[in-house]
This record gives sequence, C-alpha cells and structure tokens, in this order.
Amino acid sequence: MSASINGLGIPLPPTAPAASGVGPGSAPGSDTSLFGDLLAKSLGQVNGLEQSAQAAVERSFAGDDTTQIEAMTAMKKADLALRLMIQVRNKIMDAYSEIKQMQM
Amino acid sequence: MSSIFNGTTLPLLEKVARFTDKRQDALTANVANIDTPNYKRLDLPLEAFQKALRDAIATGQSRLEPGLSSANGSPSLGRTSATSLPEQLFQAVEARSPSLNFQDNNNRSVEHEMMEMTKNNMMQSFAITLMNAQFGMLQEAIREQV
Amino acid sequence: MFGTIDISTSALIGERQRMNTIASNLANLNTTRDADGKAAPFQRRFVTFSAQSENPDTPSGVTYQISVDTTSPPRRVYEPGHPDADKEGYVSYPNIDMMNEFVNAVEASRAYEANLVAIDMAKQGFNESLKILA
Repeated sequence: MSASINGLGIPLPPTAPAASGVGPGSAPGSDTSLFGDLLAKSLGQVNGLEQSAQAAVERSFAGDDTTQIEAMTAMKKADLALRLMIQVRNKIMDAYSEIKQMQM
Repeated sequence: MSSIFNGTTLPLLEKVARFTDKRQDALTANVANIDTPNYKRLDLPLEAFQKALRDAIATGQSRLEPGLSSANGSPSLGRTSATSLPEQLFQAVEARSPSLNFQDNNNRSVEHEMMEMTKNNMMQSFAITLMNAQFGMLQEAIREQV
Repeated sequence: MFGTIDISTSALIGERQRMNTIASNLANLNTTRDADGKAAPFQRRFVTFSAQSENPDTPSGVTYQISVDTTSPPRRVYEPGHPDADKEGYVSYPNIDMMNEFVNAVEASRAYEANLVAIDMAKQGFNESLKILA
C-alpha cells in the first residue's frame, strides 16, 4: 500500500507475514495483516488530524470564529500523531530488516 | 518538487505573513504621524484580505488534487495553494478611523492605532509560529526521524 | 480575530474622551462668555456610555456620546461691577463642581488603567498559547 500524506510518499514496508511471529500477541499462523492494519489506521488518523489542523488554520485566518488556541492545538495534535506514526514505522522497518537477516 | 508545499498551510501562512508585514509599516506610519496636521491614516483593509482568503479557500475546494484523498475515505479539503491574491490587497490605502476628529483634520486616535498594531503583531506571531510548526512537520517526515 | 482587544480599545477611547471633557470642564470653571463673546455661562459637558450591541450572547464594547448639561442652573454670584452682570447685578457662572469633576477624573483614569491591564492580559494569554507549538 502506498498512501501519502501531503503528497509526500512515505514508503511503507510490505506487510510482514504473521507466521514469523512479529505480530504482538498474535498466535502463529493467524491473520497476516496485523501490522499492516495498525499502520494503515494510524496513517488515516494522521491524515485526518492533519486535514482538520489545516482547516482550523484556514478558518482562523479567514475571519471565522475559530480561536487561535483551537488552531494551535489541532496543529500540535497532528504533529504528535505524525511523530508517533514515524516512530512506529521505524520500529516496523527495524523489525522487518532484523527478521530478514534471520537465517532460516 | 514544490508540490509538497502546496498541500500544506504554507501558502496561506506566507500570504498572511506578507500582509501583516506590509500592514505593520502603514500602522507605524500612523503612530509616527500622530501630531501631523491634515494627516489621513493609512491602512491595509483587513476585511478585504480575509474575504479574499475565504474566496481562495472556496475555489481551492473545487480543485482537489488527484490522489490527495485521505485513507479513511473522508473528503479532503481544498488548499489555498496556487491561488495568488491580488496585489492591491498588499498596498496601503487611506482608511477612515472610527473615532474622533480633531481640530487639525487629523483623524487618528493613538489608542486605536496602538491596538491595531498590537493585533497585527499578534497575527504575525501566530502565522510565523504556525509556519515553524508546519516546516517542522515536513522535516520530520522527510528525515524519517523524530 | 482578537475581538477582546477591540472591546478594550473602545473602552480606552471612551475613557480618554471622558478625561477630555472633564479637562475642558475644569478649564472653563469660570467662563462667563461663550465663543461669540456674548454673556452665556459655559455649559458643563459630560460623556455617556452605551453598550455597542444589545445582544447578551456577544460581549460588546462601549460607544460614548458627549452631551451638554442644559438642565442644571448656573451658579449665580452677586458681582455688580462685573461686565457680564445682569440687571440685578448677578453674574452666571458655570455650574461645574470641581470636586465632582476630580472624582470623575480619578474614576476615568482608573478605568483607563484597568482596560490597559485587560489588553495586557489578552496579549500574555496569546503569548502563552504560542508556546503550545514551540
């Protein structure tokens, strides 16, 4: 899957098969897209927060009733969600490359 | 490559920063000329600017960039990106002040000018802070590192 | 944006105008002639404030109006030698009470300071909120 945020393509790792045991708490052989779902969901949330932050900023400057605090908290929430997602993605990448190196 | 900025709040914030910058000059001139006889105060009308922003946002909504829809299916909002605002919004014009008229035909009140300057300054700080935050987010995404 | 500051500014302008009228009242404490030179005592000016909007849901600023006090009678002093004395020898002085004007001046000045503090608080609140994104 290759969703994008703001036109930037953040490449996602292919979903690791759960059979190799990367899914937290997943029984061996269970559904194959645990991490994929997690990442897709957080990606959607980040995108949603980002868009509501942009809408809040636009409304705030265009003279609507949005206070500055609303726009700033929306921006900060989007920022933190993005950071969280980047960390999750990095951890997934690390785990995946570690698994790749495992001698089978 | 510059399309990474078009999808953000950056074009809007740049316009606001430029507007507040020009407006600061006009308002400072007003305060400097507090005692000048026959001086008419200058201003960059804020309502006109905000209306132009509203229109730009609305037209941006009708030109969605392909592929920008969010992953969870909600409609994506327009952006004020490619729309550039008319240059006259950024030029100082004579403006009525809603208060006293003094004997020397000067239509100013120092409180009004100072407060307009304060509000303008706050709007500028607000826009610049948001710009910093937005740039920071882009940097984080590019570096893939928090 | 920043409507709070607009509200306080309207109050500042109103209070300043009040100070101006008080100053003109005090300056004309003994003025017995009007601008044309005829014998007419200076009428006390005063400022009335009214709210800018009647809607209780939106906080409103103030607008002021300068009115002339035409109802209170002038202060009559017996001075037969004065050029502006009337037929009985009384001169009509403005009915301006200095103590009253002083008290009003103090109140106007305190109100002015209070509104300045309100504006300062609004600015500080805004600066604090900028730290959210810092």
